[in-house]
Amino acid sequence: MKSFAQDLMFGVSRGKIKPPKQILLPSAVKTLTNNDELIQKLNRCVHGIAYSQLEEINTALCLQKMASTSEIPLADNIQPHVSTTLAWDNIDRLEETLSGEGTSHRVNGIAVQTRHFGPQLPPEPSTHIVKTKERSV
Amino acid sequence: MKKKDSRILAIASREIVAAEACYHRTCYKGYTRAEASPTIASDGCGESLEDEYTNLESEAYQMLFDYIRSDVLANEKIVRLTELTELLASYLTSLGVEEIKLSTKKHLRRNLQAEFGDGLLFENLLETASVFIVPANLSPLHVAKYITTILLEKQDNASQSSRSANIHQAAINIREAIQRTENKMSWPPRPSDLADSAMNVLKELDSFLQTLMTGKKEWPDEIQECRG
Repeated sequence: MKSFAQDLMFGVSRGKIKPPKQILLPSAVKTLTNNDELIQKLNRCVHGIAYSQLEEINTALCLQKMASTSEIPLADNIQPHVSTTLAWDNIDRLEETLSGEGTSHRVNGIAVQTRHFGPQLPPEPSTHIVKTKERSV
Repeated sequence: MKKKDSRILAIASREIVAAEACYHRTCYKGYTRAEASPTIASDGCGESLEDEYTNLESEAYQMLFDYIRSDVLANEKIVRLTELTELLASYLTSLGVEEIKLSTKKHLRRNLQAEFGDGLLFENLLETASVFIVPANLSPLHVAKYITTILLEKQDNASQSSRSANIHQAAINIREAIQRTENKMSWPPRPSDLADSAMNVLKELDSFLQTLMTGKKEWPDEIQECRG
């Protein structure tokens, strides 16, 4: 029922109101498939925001993290004072270079928290990002 | 006058109305009918175009009379004179007449009166320009049935239009409620803005959807539990 309601609100307001579904669905599709045509089709069917708008949100989130003062940029949905399991894994591409230097090494980390019921701490004030039409950093 | 007929000139030289002169219908028609052109008469084609039209016209009239006898009088129907005019025109067209003369339509009422006499009544029922043809044998019971049918049709139409008006009003109310809603989402959106709890379904929209989905005014218990 909420899905219908979100579609109606998004459609009637002509995209001015962006319900969670209309942001999360194309975002998930982008993560899983990285197919912009699919996101465009979802947008035409009023199921999600446009691909360009999704890029604007991602760019704004990136700029916000870059502007934050904390040493390690963490996702906003990670709660403080809650037991957390961390898993890190390095991905070394190990390109064949003459000197052995200049190879690519990437490390991915995953933070897992148990769902915490009860009052939650207010989110830390984040850096204000001016809404622009930028779609890349 | 154009023919310079001395008999007509003698009449026309006086005041026609004062002399109470009037044309006999068939005589007037015969007198004013255009004479056969010499070319047609000379080549031996037989009937002139005028006579051919007259024959087709009388054939179409016979078809119309048959229709009135078999349908209007038999079923005690009330019809508009314009409907019969259109029917006559369609008969003429089906017989191959390309251009229908104005006189054919103009003389319809007179021809019907000549054919059916008192069997048909020509009444101005709605006090407008339209004339209705009422069979003289129409019984009061049939009139009552006729009126009842029309009244019921009117009621159906009224209820249908009020239903449409209700749907229209409901859509307008929901639309206005949505347009009044402020967009409170921060930029860029936070995780809390995209959580399920952040989605507040409008009261009007919720009421509309629950009626649409369940046909009831309130959510059934099992769905209410799922909705939290």
